[in-house]
Amino acid sequence: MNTPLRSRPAIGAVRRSFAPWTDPAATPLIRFDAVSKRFGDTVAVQDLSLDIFEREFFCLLGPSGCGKTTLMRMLAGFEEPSAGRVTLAGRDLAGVPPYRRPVNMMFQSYALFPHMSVERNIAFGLKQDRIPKDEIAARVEEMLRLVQLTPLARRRPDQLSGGQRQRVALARALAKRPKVLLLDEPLGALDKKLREETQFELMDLQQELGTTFLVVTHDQEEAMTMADRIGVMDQGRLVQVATPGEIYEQPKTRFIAEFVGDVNILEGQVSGREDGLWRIATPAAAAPLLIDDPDEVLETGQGVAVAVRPEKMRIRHGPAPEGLANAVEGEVWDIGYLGDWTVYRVKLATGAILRVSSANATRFVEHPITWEEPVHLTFAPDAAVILTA
Amino acid sequence: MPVHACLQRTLSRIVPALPFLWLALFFLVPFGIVLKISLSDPATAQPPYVPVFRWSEWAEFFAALDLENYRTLFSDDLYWSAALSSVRIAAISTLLLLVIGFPVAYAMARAPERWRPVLVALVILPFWTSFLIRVYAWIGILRSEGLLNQALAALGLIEEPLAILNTETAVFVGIVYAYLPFMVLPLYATLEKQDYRLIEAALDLGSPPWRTFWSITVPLAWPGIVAGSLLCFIPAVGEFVIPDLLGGSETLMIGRSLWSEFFSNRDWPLASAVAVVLLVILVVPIVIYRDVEARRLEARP
Repeated sequence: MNTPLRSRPAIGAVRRSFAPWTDPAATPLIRFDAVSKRFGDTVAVQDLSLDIFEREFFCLLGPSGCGKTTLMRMLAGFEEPSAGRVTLAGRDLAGVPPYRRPVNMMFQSYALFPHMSVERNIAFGLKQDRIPKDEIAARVEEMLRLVQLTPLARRRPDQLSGGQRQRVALARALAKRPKVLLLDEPLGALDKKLREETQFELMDLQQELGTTFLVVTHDQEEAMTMADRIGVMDQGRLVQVATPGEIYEQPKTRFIAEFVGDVNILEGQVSGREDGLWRIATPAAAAPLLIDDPDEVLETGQGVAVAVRPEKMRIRHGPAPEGLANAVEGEVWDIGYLGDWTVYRVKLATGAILRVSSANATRFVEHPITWEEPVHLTFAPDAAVILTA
Repeated sequence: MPVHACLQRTLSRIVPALPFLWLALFFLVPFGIVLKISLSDPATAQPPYVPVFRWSEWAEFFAALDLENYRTLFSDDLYWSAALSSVRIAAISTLLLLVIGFPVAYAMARAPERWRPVLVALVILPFWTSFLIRVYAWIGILRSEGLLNQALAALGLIEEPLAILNTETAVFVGIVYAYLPFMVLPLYATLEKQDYRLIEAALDLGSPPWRTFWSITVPLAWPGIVAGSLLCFIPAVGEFVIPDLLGGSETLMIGRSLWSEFFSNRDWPLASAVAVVLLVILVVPIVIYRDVEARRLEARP
């Protein structure tokens, strides 16, 4: 997954000091080794291998039905792999029932016990271990403080708000200090504002406790914000495992480029290479596009897709000046003003519609772009990625 | 449209009164009559009790009512032991029903979804045949040269036929058989609603399956357990047909005393007193149930 990056400073906007996956000597905490899972005729997970390291915040990202939840349930012990092995800290988990695995799960529906108070929910796992009573009480107290629910200790789950229930579920799963915490769509049931806050709370909590987190989500923003690494899944396969920056800036396939964030795809053919840049002939532009993607190995005449993110394109008035590289002409079809950004949808002569977004850095604009106006779009050679799959 | 609106308002006031009207007509009034008869004295007449209700003689009427029959009831051991034995038989039967019904309901609730309606239909299916015929059929099964004894003898398990018919065991068999749907259906209703994720969550937190059953499944099925138990216990206390057909002469149950007072002894006042006492015995568990239910609901916002 880690293609050597030329002289580029860093991919994405974040530099990470924590990156055990780049260390060949590091041993993973969780290892999926050629794991497959079939339910009757349907294949939920297919020949999947993945290493997750201690203290890592790992997100499995994919559309619903891609097999990400099944993968997590195999680690929790609710499903057994049809083939392959799952190991945790070097120990093969085959045949180990869920109640003997040192992992705990936070369920999407929270699965709080409705007949127990908040404290009894949190204490439930501790009681199973026959820990002395006062120690249980102390740990419950600590967990309540951690998720800021101390005043609600005696409430029952149906007397709590959605956000409070989510925190009880989190405290209950963390109370046993598991080696790995599994979170199934942990923020799915929360509204947008609360979701954003909780994302950062989860990250802080993970930092503080040093627990390995494995999160399953279909929300790419959630994955991008929280994860050290993201594994993108599609139809039971792992298509890319990389840091959020790499996933976004260097997607391996068209599926990933389109699933994570917005992207414009320009279909074309390789027409040669000049000055280290690929020349891609496309019906969308008069001159061939020049793309700086040195890691690709392409042949002349090969059909490829050029992917450019909306925020990496510039929109200008009028037709493109003579000789401007990577220029695409079109007409403004739609404008969406979002406050911080404005999104333009530009229709090309080919009929394709491209999205361009531009940050509203000033409050006033001299010559604003308007509907049905002829415009041209440009982008730098290294703003685009060539996709062959 | 004021006429229409007026009509609608009147209707919406009448509708909630309907169940009360029903109860008043078919429970309260008959109960009042039975209560009155229980306070009367037996007489060889038509109807066989005095005083007969006459609007004109109020004072005389009330003076003639007394608690004589209740005194008889409470002084005679027979009724006491009949009541006690009814409660005991009903309680043991309810326990047996719970032990048998719970696994049945649990298996139904965990069966694949497309099978569940069929399974529910199978549970209800015996109701298509008359209750009386089904109880009679048990005589054929349980008697000493019946199907059960023949089968056991053929298997070489017994040499002498077992005497089951006309014992209390036969009564338990009959009650458990006849009342099983009333236990299974409420249990199934609560178990089917139960979120399987809760079981998974308990397993995930380190609770083995057996402990999970007691700490999660049973407490959450509690409303069904209470409803099923009451649905079985209440009619079982007053059961008459099953002990009469299967139980033999030694099986004392209050339903039988009631029947023989009414029809053999033609002592309607005493029989009515038995009926009133039976009702009181049955009201107690209903009140307890209501209390449990109210507390359960109160705990919710």
